Amino acid sequence: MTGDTVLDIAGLRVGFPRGGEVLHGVDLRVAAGECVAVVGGSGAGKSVLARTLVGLAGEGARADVRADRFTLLGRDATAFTERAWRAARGRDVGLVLQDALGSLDPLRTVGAEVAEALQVRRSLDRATTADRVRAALADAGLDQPEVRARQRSGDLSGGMRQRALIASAVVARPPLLVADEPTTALDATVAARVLDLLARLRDEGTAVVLVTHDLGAVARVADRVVVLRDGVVVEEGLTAALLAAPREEYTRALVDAARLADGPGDVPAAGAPVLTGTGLRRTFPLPGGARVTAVDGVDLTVHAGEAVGLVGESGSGKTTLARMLLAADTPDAGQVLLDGGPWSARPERDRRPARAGVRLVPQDPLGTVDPRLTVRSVLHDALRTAPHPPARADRDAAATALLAAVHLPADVLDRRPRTLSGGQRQRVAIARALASEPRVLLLDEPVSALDVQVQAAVLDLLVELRRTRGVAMVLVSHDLGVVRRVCDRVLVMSGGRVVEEGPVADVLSAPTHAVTRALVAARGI
Amino acid sequence: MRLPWVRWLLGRLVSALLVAWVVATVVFFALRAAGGDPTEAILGGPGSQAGPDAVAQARAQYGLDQPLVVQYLVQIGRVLTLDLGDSYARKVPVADLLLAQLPGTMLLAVLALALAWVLALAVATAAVRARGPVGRACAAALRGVEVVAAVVPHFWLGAVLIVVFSSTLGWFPATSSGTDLAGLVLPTVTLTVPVAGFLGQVMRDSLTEAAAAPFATSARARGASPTRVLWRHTLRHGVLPAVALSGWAFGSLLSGAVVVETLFGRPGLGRLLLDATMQRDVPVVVGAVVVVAVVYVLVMLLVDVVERLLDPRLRAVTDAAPVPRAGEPAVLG
Repeated sequence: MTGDTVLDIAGLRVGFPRGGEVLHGVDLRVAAGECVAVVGGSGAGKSVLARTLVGLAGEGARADVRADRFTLLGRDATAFTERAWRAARGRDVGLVLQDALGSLDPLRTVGAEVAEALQVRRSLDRATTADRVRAALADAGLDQPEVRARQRSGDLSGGMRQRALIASAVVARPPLLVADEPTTALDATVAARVLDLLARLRDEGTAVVLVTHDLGAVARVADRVVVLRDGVVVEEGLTAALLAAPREEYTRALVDAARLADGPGDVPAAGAPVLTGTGLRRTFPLPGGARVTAVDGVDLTVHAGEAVGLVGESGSGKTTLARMLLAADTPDAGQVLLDGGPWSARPERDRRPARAGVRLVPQDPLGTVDPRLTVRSVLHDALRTAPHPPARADRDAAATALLAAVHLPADVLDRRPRTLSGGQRQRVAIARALASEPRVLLLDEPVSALDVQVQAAVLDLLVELRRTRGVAMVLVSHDLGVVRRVCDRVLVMSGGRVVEEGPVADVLSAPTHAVTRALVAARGI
Repeated sequence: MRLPWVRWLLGRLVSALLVAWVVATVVFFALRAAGGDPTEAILGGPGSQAGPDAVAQARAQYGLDQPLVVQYLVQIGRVLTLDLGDSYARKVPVADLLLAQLPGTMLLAVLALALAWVLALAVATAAVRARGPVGRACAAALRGVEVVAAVVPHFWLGAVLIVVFSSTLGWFPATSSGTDLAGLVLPTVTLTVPVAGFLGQVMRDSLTEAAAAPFATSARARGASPTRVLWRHTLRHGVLPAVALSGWAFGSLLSGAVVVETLFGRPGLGRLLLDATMQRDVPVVVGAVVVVAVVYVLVMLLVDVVERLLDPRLRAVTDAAPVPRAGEPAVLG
């Protein structure tokens, strides 16, 4: 049910004075009631394209935008002045950015943010504006729109924030909506609901450009797909056909990466219990005196060489549980045993020698290293505190061996974490954790910030480490696909409790709990 | 909704009293530890040839023969009852002395802070809106000026201003006695420049950061003009750190006033404090320092209130009942 052409671009070239040309002649056509996905790995120029569609490519840096044809609602956008663009933004085209927490002004109410696109036109009176804001918030699927309008983005959950952001982009009913990675920061079930909202807007006649690296999202809402690589469209076609039979090697790689392998394959059999948690409970104080229970009576055993997945929506308590297993946090009730001896109940001084056995790989490796250190000093530090530290002269060789184990070249040693790509950083974080030859690795959302191809490669590495080193893993993720790739067993958490537990294949093929079913559906497994 | 505010304010006022007490105590003992005999001040300052009888009589009259602890308690008791006692040297109530000098100094500090804010805002907004090679070059030059301004010492700047604008050009008088505007110009500018440079740097950094934030992009994508983005979005973020630092800046202006008042021969709290310290005039020193400390604490309180008005996120801390969080609580950080 597609209608008139809303956006028609041919030969779009965008360059920056520093950094050169990013888009080299991109063609893109979107009709009313159609959703076109723009996919590609990092650095393909997706975000620059999204910003160019709203005339904001030159934000910060002076951008050089040229196109053979760039028509927006039948008007020639190549001739737009800044004033014409300003009039078009919000009214003709709306933009939704990835990070909803940062994309809504934290100092202003949600209502004020949503009303802005109406207020800049100065055409509506106060009461009508308020009605339109309320209607937009309700349309975006927010309960109690009057209350939400008075709250600020910090008071809303991630999914609600993203809905409010979408409401703020479509409140003036623009015929074209550009969404730049709208679901990347969300967990799988929430992301699925946000995608459904985009699909509804499309069905109501909005032309939607969905920029994403998530092929699951593409399969869910997009009618057509445009594959972008290094600023060039390499392939284009109807979603189902293109995903089923990609012609280009690059597209095939993207599709393969998204379709994670089913299970870790041949791994060593599980041994004796290493980490055992019994009756674990942890509450946190809320401002005002109340307490919230993050983990509520969880039992968990991790055997040697085994990989256990912890899945659940955000706020389900999985990170708190992982922190207690690491003994970075102490349970209010219950205790964690390491090799049958006390672990959580021991004072930190006694615990320190045993810490080498349990290591953490954080979600954001940048946050856990001093940005001024080189990879060499990061690894040297880790090696120095290992149970069998190599001699000073051998440290470089040991560090190089660690890098080799995570498939990084030796020249990474002299780089600083900030200059590495997201995938390289995560590999360095894994190498650092391996330095003390741990028996258990705790991985907290290790791949959720990475794009699909890098994600697949890092997960391959984790499986390889299981195979070659026999290291046990506890993998925290909101993505069942990730857990299925690496883990043997899975624990599904909801509201601080384990609601379902078992071998990954069993749980995925016959989910009994509603949360598990939602996670399975969201992943499209 | 009103009650938590009142409770918060009361808490802050109690802590202001605590600060005043601590300050009075420290000043009292520090002045004694520095040596010198207060009786000298009573009997006409150092070098007065008072006989032993006169000294003994003065000591008895002012309670200086009592143990130090008793003297301290008497002094604190006076501070608490707002009766700051009589000056040793001038033989008049300290409260009268302070009341006479306070308005001049406060006027100077407030004017200087206001001017610093105007300058900092102008520089910061100009820097953010600078476009094109010329604009960028000007913005870079202003950055340099800010750094220089932030490190200029008061006494040097004041001297230069006097030479240029008073001795050479004759535009403004080099001395000022009261509240006449022409006489206030040079002292105010002298006090302003370093603070303006400092606030300008802070404001420009935070404003630049806010202008590059995703919420500013979102606002532009809704069709907001640069002016609207500045006034409705980024400026509030941009001034927040400067507001937080303004309390500290005000404190530094009060201490800078000591130098400036001396330099321009202006009466004021700074001059009074300097003279009284030289003379070991304990009641005046304690009184002046306590008053300055209380003023400082009140300014800090004002800063907190303004910050809460600008940043609603801070209000949650003062409200007893937290805003119910939609969806799941973000306990996990």
